[in-house]
Amino acid sequence: MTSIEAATKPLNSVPVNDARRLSPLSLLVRLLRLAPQMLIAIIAIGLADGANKPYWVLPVFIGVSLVVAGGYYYLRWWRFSYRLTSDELRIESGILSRNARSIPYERIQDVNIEQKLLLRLFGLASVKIETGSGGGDDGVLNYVTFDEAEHLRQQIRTLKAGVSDPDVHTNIAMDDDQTDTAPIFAMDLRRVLTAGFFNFSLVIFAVLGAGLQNLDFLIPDRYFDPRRWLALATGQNWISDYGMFAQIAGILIAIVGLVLLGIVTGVVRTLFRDYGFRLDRTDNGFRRRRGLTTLSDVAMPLRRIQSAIIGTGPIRKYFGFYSLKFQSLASDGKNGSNHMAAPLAYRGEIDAILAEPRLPWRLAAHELQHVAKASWFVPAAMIAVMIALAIAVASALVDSRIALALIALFLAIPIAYFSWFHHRFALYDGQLYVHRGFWKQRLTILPLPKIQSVDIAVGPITRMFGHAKMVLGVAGGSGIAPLNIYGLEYDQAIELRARLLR
Amino acid sequence: MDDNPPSPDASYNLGLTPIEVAQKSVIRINVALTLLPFLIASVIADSTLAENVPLTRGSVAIPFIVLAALVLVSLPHRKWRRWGFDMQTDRLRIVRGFLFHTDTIVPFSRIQHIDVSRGPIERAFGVATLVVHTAGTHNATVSLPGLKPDQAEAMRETIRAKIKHDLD
Repeated sequence: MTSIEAATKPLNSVPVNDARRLSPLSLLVRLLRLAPQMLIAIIAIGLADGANKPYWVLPVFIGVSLVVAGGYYYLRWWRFSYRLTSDELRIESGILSRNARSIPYERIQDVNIEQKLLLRLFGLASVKIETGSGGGDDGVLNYVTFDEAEHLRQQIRTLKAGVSDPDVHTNIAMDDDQTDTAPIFAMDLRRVLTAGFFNFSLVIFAVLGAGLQNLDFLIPDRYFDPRRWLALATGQNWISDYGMFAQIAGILIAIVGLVLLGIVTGVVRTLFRDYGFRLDRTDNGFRRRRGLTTLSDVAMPLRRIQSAIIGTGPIRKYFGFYSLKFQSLASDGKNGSNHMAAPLAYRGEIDAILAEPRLPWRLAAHELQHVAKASWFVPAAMIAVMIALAIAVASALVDSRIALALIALFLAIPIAYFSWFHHRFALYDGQLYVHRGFWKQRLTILPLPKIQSVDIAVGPITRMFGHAKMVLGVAGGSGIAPLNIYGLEYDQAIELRARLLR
Repeated sequence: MDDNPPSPDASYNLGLTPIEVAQKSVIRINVALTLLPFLIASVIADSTLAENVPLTRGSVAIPFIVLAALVLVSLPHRKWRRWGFDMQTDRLRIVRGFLFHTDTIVPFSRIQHIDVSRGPIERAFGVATLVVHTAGTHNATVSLPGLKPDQAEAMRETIRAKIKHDLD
C-alpha cells in the first residue's frame, strides 16, 4: 500500500525532472495579445493633434511599449518555473512577490489542455490543472508546446496512478443511460400549479421599474418630486374629500390587487420553468428535466453533492409541502450552485430522493436546538433605541406624521425574534442540521465530511456577550452568504467545532 | 516550535504559537502604504482649502498626520499579537483579527494545494506566508503570514505528507 511507501520515503519528495520554464514562444504570444490595445493607442496618437506632432512620436511610442511590455513578460517568463516530483507538481512564480505552489497529485482532478487559434499557430497550448479548490485559481501553465502539454498530462496521470488508489478515478462511466425507467420524483400539472401558487412573486414590479428607467421621458417631471407625494400624503388632494373610509378601502383594494398579481406572476413563471418536472436516478447521480418552452436537462452526479437544503414556509408546511435543493459543485467546476431537485414535494417524496445520496433527514426543524436568546434581544434593543431616536429627531425637526410612519419600523423587533426562534441547529448522526428563516424556512443538512473549514468569528459587539458566530466552508453554493450559525456561546462554539471536525 | 522567544499575552491569541516579531514591521509598512494616499489627499485638501477658505494652513493635514502616526505606532502591535497558529497532527488552526477576531481550523485532509509566498516587503524582513487552498467557497484560501521561510516550507512538507496518507 502507498502508506507504507510514504512512511519509508524521506519527507522531501524526489524530483522526477528538472525545473522547466514555459515555452519562450509564449513571450511572442503575450505580445501579440497586446496588439489590439496597441492598435487603439496608435490610432489615438495618430489622430491627436495631427499637424504639430514631431515625426518620431509614433515610432518612439511603439518602441518604448514593446521594450516595457517585452521586458515585463520576459521577467515573468524568467521567474516562472514548474517541476514534477514524485508526489507533487511544483510551480514557482512572481517577479518580486515569489510564490511556490505545491499541488499534490492526489488532489489533481483534471488536466485540461486548451489550444486557441493564436496558440495553435505557434504549436503552443495552455495547461490548466484543476484540484477542485474553492477559489478556482489552481495551476495554470501559459504556455507550453503542445507536445510538452501532452507529455505533462501523461506524466501527471502516471505519477498520480503511482500515488493514489486505482479505484479513485474510475469515474469514466459518466454517460447516463437513456432508459426511461420510472422517475424518482415527478410533478403533474396540478402539482406544478400548486407550486406556482406558493411562488408568490412581485418580480413584475422590478420589470416595470426597469421599464420606467428607460421610459422616464413619458413621466411628468414632478412625478418623483417628494414634495408632490408629501402633498398627496398630507391630504391636500381629492381622495381626502371622500373621507377616511374611502382611503382605507382604496388601500385594501390596492393590497388585494397586488397579492393577486403576485400569485398570477408566480403561477405563470413556475408553469414555464417547472412544467413536466421529472427527476431520474442515473448510474452516477440524478438527471433532471423540466420546462415548458425551454427544456432543460441537467445531470447531478452524486459525488458532487455537498449538502441538502430543504425549504418550506408557514403555509406550505401546513399542507405538508417542502422543496429540496442540492448544493453541489457545478459540472464546469467553477461556479458552484444549488440544484433544485424537487420544487414542491411531500415528506415521503423528499425522503425517497434523499435516500440516494445517503443524506437522511432525521430531525425536524422543531427538534433542533436554539441559539442564545441574547442574539435576538440585544440587536432588537439596539434597533429600538435607534428607531426611537429617529422618531424623536423626525418629529422635532420635520413633521410628526413622518414620525408616525417610522413607528412601522418597530416591526423589526418581532422579525428579530422570529428569525432567532427559527435559527436552530443540531449535530446528529454525522450530519449538521442548520435551520434558518420564518417565512422562507431553510433546513440545511450537511454531512460532516463535506466541511472544508470552520471559522469561529467574534466581533466587537458579540464579544461583549461572550458570543461567537460559526462559519462553515463548504464547496459550491454562495461565497457571499456562507452557511453559518450565529449566537453560540463561545465555549459551545469551540466544543461544537471539535465535534464537527473529529 | 516553542522556541519563539517573545510571546504575546496569551489572552490575545489564545495561547497559540505567535508569528514572527518581524511581521510587525511588514504590517506597519502595509498600513503605511494604505494610509499614504489619504495622507497625500489630506495635504492637497489642506493647501486648496487654505487658499479658498479662511483656515490656518495645516488644520486638515496636521490632525490627520497625528492620527496616522498613532495608528502606525499602535495598530501593528495590536494586529500582530492577535495572530497565532497551531499545527496539530491532523489540522491547522489559525487565529487572527484585531476588532473582528476569527479562529479557523482547516483539517489537512481538506487542503487542495499549498502556496508558500514571499513578497518584496516580506523578503526584506525575512518572513514568508503559507497559503492553504480548500474546496470551500468560503475560506477558499486561508493565509498564515509571518513565518520563517524554512518553517513555512517545513509546514508545507508536513501538510503534504498528511495529504498523501489520506486518500478519500
